[in-house]
Amino acid sequence: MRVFIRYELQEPTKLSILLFFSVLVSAAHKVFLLKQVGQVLSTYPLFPLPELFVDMARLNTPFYVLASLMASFIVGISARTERDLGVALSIYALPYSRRAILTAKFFSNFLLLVMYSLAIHILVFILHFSGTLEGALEALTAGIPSLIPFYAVVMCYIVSISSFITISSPNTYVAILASFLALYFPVLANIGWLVPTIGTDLNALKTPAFLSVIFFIAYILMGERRDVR
Amino acid sequence: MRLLKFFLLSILVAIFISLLFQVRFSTNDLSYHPISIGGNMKYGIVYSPSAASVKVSLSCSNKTQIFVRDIEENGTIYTGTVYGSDLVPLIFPHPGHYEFSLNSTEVHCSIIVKPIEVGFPAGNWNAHFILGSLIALSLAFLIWRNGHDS
Repeated sequence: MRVFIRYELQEPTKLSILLFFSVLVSAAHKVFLLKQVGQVLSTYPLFPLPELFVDMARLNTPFYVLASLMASFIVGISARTERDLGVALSIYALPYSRRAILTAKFFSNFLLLVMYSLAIHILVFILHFSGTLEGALEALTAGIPSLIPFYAVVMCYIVSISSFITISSPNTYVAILASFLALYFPVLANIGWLVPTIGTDLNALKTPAFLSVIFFIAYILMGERRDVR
Repeated sequence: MRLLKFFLLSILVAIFISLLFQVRFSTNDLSYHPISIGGNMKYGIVYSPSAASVKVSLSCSNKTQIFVRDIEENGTIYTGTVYGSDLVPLIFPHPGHYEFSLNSTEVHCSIIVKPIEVGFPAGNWNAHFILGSLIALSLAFLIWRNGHDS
């Protein structure tokens, strides 16, 4: 399984898509920091920078939309293209169970998206506030314990839904469009509990975490039963 | 190795995007929310997305002393007494939060901040260029070493 994860992490098409992802996501984060208009009234002195650091991901809807789009591409290429091209016959003939191969694909996509999102988030924040590096590092230390679980749950949610739709789709194009639609429609329809970015605390992530588990299990079951051609 | 190269390239691109947005940022893009402090709510915080030269219009219900604190640096950047209303020029030295406070709970003040000129501090530009150069050098080294091996 480790071999598969390593292979999937090095896949050049996915890495190229992640390069585009980093362009779009860094722009979304920078625009969020530049367009943010805030005023806070308080009875005591506050240090609001850690909250802004976390809000860059939590309240940034363009980030969620871009992550959904890119995840749809990455998962589509990872789990569906090989079936379209017929390469899957060779891959699934290897002495590994289908469950192991599908799980490796899921975890490599999840790891790549979490790693890139977290790195770009921290980089843009630190660079923006590098004029006051001490304050920025203090905010980073205070915000990172809630940011890591946030990204983990959001990316798990996005990847699990994309993976399930991809494995159920007839080809890569349908897989990409259908999974993006499934992830983006709640934003358009303003269904808050299905969009993990719009929330005020980590409790808002319980539903996406629960749905992630359900869709992951459904993805494995569907992938095991479906003909790889 | 390929993952590391692509990752470094992505980081380099993100630094470039951050620079690009900073270069294009102008006074027209910046606005501040008016704030109203007084009574128990004696601390009002504004967020400045860039360093800025601003004009602060203060209207208070009575004579009071007003303080402006740079929250990230934890230093006072302005202290003054306002007799009813006043117009104060200020410099926000970096992107971040600035706190307006009063020394009395009986006075109410309305504060309107208008930007005159915006920019980013030297430390911010330097961080972009230094980190960008380091990443570019690392990437060049990795590509060179890869070519050398094969």
